[in-house]
Amino acid sequence: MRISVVAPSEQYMALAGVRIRYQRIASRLEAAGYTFDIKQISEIDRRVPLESDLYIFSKCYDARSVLAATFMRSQGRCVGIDVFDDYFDQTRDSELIRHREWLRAMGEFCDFFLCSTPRMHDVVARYLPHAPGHILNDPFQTYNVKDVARLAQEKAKRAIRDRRIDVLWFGIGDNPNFHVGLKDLAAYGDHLQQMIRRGFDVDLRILTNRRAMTVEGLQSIGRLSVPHVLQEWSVEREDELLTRSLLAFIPVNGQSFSVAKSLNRAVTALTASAQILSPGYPLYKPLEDFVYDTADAFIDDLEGGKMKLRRATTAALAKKLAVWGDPERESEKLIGFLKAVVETPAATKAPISSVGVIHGVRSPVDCHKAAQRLGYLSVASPMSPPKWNYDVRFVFDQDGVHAQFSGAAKVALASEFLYQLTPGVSPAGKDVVCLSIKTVLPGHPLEAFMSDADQRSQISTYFGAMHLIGDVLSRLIPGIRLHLSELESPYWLAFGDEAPGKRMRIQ
Amino acid sequence: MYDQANRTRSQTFTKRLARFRRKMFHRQDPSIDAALLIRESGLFDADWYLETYADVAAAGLDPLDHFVAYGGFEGRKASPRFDSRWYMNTYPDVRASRLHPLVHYLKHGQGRAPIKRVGLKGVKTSEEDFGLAAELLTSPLFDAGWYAREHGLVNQSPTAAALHYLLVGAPAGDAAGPKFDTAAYLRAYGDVKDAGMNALLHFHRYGAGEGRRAFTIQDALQDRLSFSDRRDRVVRPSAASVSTPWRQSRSLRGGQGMAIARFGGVAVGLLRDVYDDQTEPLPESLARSLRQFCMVCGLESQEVVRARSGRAPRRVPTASPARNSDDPRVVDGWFVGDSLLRLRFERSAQPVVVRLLQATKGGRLHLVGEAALVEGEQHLVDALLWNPLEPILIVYADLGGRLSGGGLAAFPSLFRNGLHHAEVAATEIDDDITRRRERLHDTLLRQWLANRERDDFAIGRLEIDTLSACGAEHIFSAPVQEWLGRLGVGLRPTERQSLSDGEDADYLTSISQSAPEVSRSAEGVLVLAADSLPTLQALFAARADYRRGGTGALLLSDAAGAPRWSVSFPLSAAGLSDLQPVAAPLIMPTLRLSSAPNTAAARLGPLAVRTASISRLTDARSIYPVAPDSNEPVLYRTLSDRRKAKARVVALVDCQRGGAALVEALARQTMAAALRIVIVCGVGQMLDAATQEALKRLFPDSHQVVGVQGRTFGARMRAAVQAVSVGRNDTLLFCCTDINPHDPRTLETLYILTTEKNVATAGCAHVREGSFRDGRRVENQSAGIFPQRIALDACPSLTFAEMQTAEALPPATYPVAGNTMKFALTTMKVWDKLGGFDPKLGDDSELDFCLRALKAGYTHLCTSSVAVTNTQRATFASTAKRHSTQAFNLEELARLVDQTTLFRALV
Repeated sequence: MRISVVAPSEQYMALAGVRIRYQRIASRLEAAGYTFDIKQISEIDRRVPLESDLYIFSKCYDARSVLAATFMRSQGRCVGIDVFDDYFDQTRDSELIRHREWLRAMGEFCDFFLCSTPRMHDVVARYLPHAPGHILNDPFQTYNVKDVARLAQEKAKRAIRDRRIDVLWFGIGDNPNFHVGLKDLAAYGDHLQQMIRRGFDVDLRILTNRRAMTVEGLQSIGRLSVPHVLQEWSVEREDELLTRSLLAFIPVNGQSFSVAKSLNRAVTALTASAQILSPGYPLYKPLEDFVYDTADAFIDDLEGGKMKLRRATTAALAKKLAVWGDPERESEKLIGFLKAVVETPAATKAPISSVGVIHGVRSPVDCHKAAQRLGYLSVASPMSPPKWNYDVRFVFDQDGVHAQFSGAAKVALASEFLYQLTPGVSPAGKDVVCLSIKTVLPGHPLEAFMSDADQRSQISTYFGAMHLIGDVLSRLIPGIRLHLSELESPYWLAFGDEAPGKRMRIQ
Repeated sequence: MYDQANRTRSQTFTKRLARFRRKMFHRQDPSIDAALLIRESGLFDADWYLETYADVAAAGLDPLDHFVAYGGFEGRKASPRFDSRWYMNTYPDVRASRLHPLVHYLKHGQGRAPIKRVGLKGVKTSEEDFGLAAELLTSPLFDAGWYAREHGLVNQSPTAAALHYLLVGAPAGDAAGPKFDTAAYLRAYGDVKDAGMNALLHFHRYGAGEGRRAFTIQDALQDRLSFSDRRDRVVRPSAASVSTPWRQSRSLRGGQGMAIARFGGVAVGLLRDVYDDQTEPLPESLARSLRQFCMVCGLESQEVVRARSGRAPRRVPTASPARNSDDPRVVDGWFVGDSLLRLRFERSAQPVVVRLLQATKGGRLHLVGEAALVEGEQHLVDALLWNPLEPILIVYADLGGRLSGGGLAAFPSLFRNGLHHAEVAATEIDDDITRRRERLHDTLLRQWLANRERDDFAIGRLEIDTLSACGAEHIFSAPVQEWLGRLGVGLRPTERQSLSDGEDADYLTSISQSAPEVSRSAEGVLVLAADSLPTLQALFAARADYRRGGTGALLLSDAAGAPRWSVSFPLSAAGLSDLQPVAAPLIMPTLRLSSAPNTAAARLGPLAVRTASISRLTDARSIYPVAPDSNEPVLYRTLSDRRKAKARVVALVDCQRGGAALVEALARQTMAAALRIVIVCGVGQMLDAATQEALKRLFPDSHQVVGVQGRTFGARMRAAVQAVSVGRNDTLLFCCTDINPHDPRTLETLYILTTEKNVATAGCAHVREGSFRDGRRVENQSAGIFPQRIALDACPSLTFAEMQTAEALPPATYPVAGNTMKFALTTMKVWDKLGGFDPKLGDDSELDFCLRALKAGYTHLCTSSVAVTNTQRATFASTAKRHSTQAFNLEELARLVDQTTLFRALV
């Protein structure tokens, strides 16, 4: 079996979603006789034959993955998604509509899904009830038990001798939607202050992404009453500082996004001989024998010479980690699951004659390119950027509304409209063919809508424009399957007769 | 690289272990899990085991597994506290039972000794002594070998060394090992000495947890050297230009007619000996501050004050006969970190040493800051507080150490950036923020002391609404919960918890519960959102202060702690709980009292300080405050299908320009079936083609176009109501083509509000599109009208304005002074009763209508749980309206303001 993981860009290859979850098991999958690679989504191209039997999308939360999945399924490939960040359980939050819409859209093409925790499994299963799911625990980096024991002992001795505790906070420091990262560090900072009150100096290192170093982020950690040094995160720096630090400080709050997280930060810290202090939500309960929840308990053990991670407990740690992230075991379980998925015949789908994507207010240009790379139609809406070389766009002038079609779109048009085409030039300066809507679809409300469009607010225009364009296209190109590319959340389509909570399809 | 050899060995061992367990235990007593039993007994010490048995450590085996499977049967010791070999040899029935020796001891060995008892010659030992000795042997600070060598205990067991230390060495002040100097510990902590407890045992049982220090022999030597040579211990004051030396708290020494004064074990200064073990009294200001400090911290001043290193004076000194303190006062203070308070002291007339103390749980005092202030200079003194909410006792002494005065900061959180600083900002405007803080501080302290004495507080418990909470809010932090516990205020989650489910909800419920140390007798319950803290004013108020019950006011501050808004809800808002959005956290803090409310009382003061996360107000959340794909209703109260079918709404659309978008949006409303559209045009005005097409298509049988005369919106609407037939039970929707109800739930939500008794109008939030600050594409505006300013001059007037309420109020329904009627509902009954808009008043006719409604006893409701898009450039807010109050007398004016939510920006 050939397996490919599809990531949104090269930048994501170094992030935890790919680095931890796949690079640590890649060699084992290959050793078991499977071909395994990690691709960027931009590599999926109609002109390049699909080499793998099975594709797993990781962190591709935009319409590109929907288009790519449509293409893969049309080529008979197995498609799955790996979901480990919970952007889907907050059903009251308008800001995350686009994520929910993405998951609903992907659900139609997914044969299976992977996730990192039982909780994430439950969340995704609500959206994809038909698809089997598998929990892939984040595999740990291989480590040497004796080195862990020795280093843990040395760190504890040094801390007692110098009355100083080297603490590391590491991770993504921000999230536009959730109270996480540096805000958590600041919110639970009292635990670090308690160490000072107990007579220790605290040397806090903060390792985080550059994007998080905003005024607000710095303001948050500025309220920590402990000396600290802020550094930009890198894998090497994380390794170096974890090896140096006695304590990894990993506070976890109780919101749904945070409690769905995997154990990977704790596992990474423990395998680097760091003790863990994790106040707040007991996310690391499975590792509770190795995790402190209060600074007092930590200091008590430090002064008592009985740290939770020490020579006497490393054997127990090894046993525990074998259950929660042994790369060998995880790769075996994953192979078993994927084999079963591949062997299960996918539900037969009616062949799709044409596929198009309508661009909304904020659609990535990569999505436009991806559509054309896959041989699908890129359709402009009144809100999308005007300069792109779309396959279909609607133009309003004194003669009414005209639909402009590229060569690729012309091929897809129903034959009865072909003789009504007239030549024209698109706003991007390309030769196109045009259809007068007044002529081919007399009385269609799109005509009246666009005549009035400049008087409307974008929010109120959105719904009507998308639906009317979808309606026109489905008449001109029978059987066309349309997707929406939209990164701006408030512009939502499930209006009209559809009950709230159900998605209206544009077709 | 994972150690493959270790893994193989470990796996083999595990299999053997499983076989062994089956053989040994399951046959005899399947209920016994030996490993668990032994681990929980505390008699097995994994570290000690590995250090003692190198072969086990070298094999990389789990020490407990090894001891259970082999070690015990081989006669190895579990720790210094259990000797398997000795136990099996001493009690022959153990071998016969075939049980693991430690399991046997734990299950059947009651009354038997776990190790050989080796007493000390000439010293009487008891069974309890052996237990204490065993406890000492578990301490990493007790070095049995070193101790035995130091005391010539040749060939003696570790237990004998521990017994010797317990019974002989420690009472004489001998060190337990190089890491623990007994004498230094007792010198530093007189209370331990007084208690007569073994110093090392005290340190492990209590001291470490209380933040006390263990002195190594080297530390103690250095301290002794420095004590004997005071020049090494003197520290220069913080101003570099001054060379006056001063003594730090720990270098204070008595003698030469001076005694050390200690508060809760902390040396704070010197007092002059007078006669017969009696010192001079404390300076008056210090005595008063100390007395108040002890009262508010629940301490006994007799217990706190110690002079002469531990001996209590015969009486607590309370007044100074001679000295008048002119010590500097705190002029300002701000939190530079959550617990790091920086205090600025005014210029002092003479050099003075300042010491800051706080009490923590259990009544222990801590020195949290200390500095010398030089005369003529202003000084900043930093204090790392144990709890940023607990009172701070300020002690002044001269450079020689003699106490000169004191002060009390009972509410550190009132200082700038503090959790309650917004309360200072919300006090009446005064140029001097310091004076405002001092006034509030003194008032609160007086209230606290007086009401504490009578146990007469309004609030006895908090209920926390955790909807949308994440658990990192201040209310869940240990300092806040400890502080509330000390004040006698317990915490409980609200019943709204049931709306959430899952582990996160369970977790939030669990951390929303705490019991106070001693409960107040107050029955009042303050219900708060999780991002709130109760105000100090609410916590220390007496029952009589809050006898009206109901709701209260809300102060907001942003994430950085800066005060932003003061929001005050009228009492009538308390009855609106059914009209609040389901998905949003509790909007207004509510006080529930068991006694009947007294409606004659004045409007309540602020009940909570709430952290408004303005940065979370994104475009999406502004446009759809409640997610449109949520399966939940918008409000708690819903409309039954039957009532929805009976509803009849006449939409009067003021058609200034193309109305197609509005007509389409109205057709998408969930109550579209109840709508009849009346397009209101000027006489002779032509309706555009798009609107005509939309009306025909979407409301083919339920629309009409009327032509009316009128220059203003109010005049046209009045004429339209008269021109069309409207039923007595119909509801009127006033709207204009600049507005678009993009959310299909808008009409139904507003309709529900109008079904509430005595509601005159219902409106909702407006969003405007454009380019706004921080790159936002929309801006929020409440369509509700709020009184902004009252002028009681020769011509009394009220100024009204719309507010950017979404910043201050998350989705909520609240009473307002009126609604802009560009998209608002009213019932025909109300319209008739009030006589509709007055066309003579021009643009003021809508406001006038709303004010007349208030005067007639109606309420106006505005909700930010749904929003409409507004393309109007000029809004009500940009042209704040001044309304003459000639039509209102002062009493009516006060009632009007009292019926309305009030907003005030804080600086």
